[in-house]
Amino acid sequence: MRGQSSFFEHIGCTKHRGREGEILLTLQVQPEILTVEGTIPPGIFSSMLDIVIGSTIAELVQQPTTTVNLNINYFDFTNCGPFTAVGTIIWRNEKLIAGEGSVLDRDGNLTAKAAGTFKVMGRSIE
Amino acid sequence: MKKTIEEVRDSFEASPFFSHIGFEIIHFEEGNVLLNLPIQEKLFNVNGTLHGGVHATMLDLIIGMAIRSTTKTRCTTMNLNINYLAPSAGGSVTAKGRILQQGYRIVTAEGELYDGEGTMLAKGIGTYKLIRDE
Repeated sequence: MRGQSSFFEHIGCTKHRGREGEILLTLQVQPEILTVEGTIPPGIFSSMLDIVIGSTIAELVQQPTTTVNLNINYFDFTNCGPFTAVGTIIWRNEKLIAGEGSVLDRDGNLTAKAAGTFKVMGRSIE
Repeated sequence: MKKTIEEVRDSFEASPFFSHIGFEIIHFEEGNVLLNLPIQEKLFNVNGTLHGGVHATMLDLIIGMAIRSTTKTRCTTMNLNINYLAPSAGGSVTAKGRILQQGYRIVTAEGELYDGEGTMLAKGIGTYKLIRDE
């Protein structure tokens, strides 16, 4: 797996592989990332989705990527996790890749979902 | 019961996540909020620039602030669509937001992020639900 960012560590994410080799992110929610009402900030789910889709793509192309667009739907902020995020690639050409990702709670309920477009930096995908 | 503008501001600043990322409120009036974020290495991606998740977090926050400063009512994000326009690796990022349409329960609003030279870094448009006490 490629390296992980300092922001990734700052919010408390960990990255590992699932049974089929897919990249999974997990988040054990810590008090410092909660809102004053004790709920999960939407930015946490946005970040997990950006990271897991970007990591899934970067693993495929073995090059750094940058996010062009990310469209996120949020379904539940009351659950305090732990959360797991997984991403898939749905389309690609030489420079752009479209992917989607989901955040699930401990019971497998869908908590947030995103679709995004990412640009591959450096040389084109072979 | 609706909160005062001071109570709304305090509720943002008291959030552990707000200080964990390092946000600073520059200006907080009804419908007119400016947010600042000094860029630090802890907020970087593997490319050494500000992480996309930070952009998303800041856009959601400034849009939520624009809505709550206007309505004095709590809200929750339903959808946020972000376009990333330019990377940033130093200085600070400033955010501003505004309401585009407000219904009784649903608000559509947008937010923009700028660097110190006025270059737009990201733009987001979102749908938010007002949580009314009734």
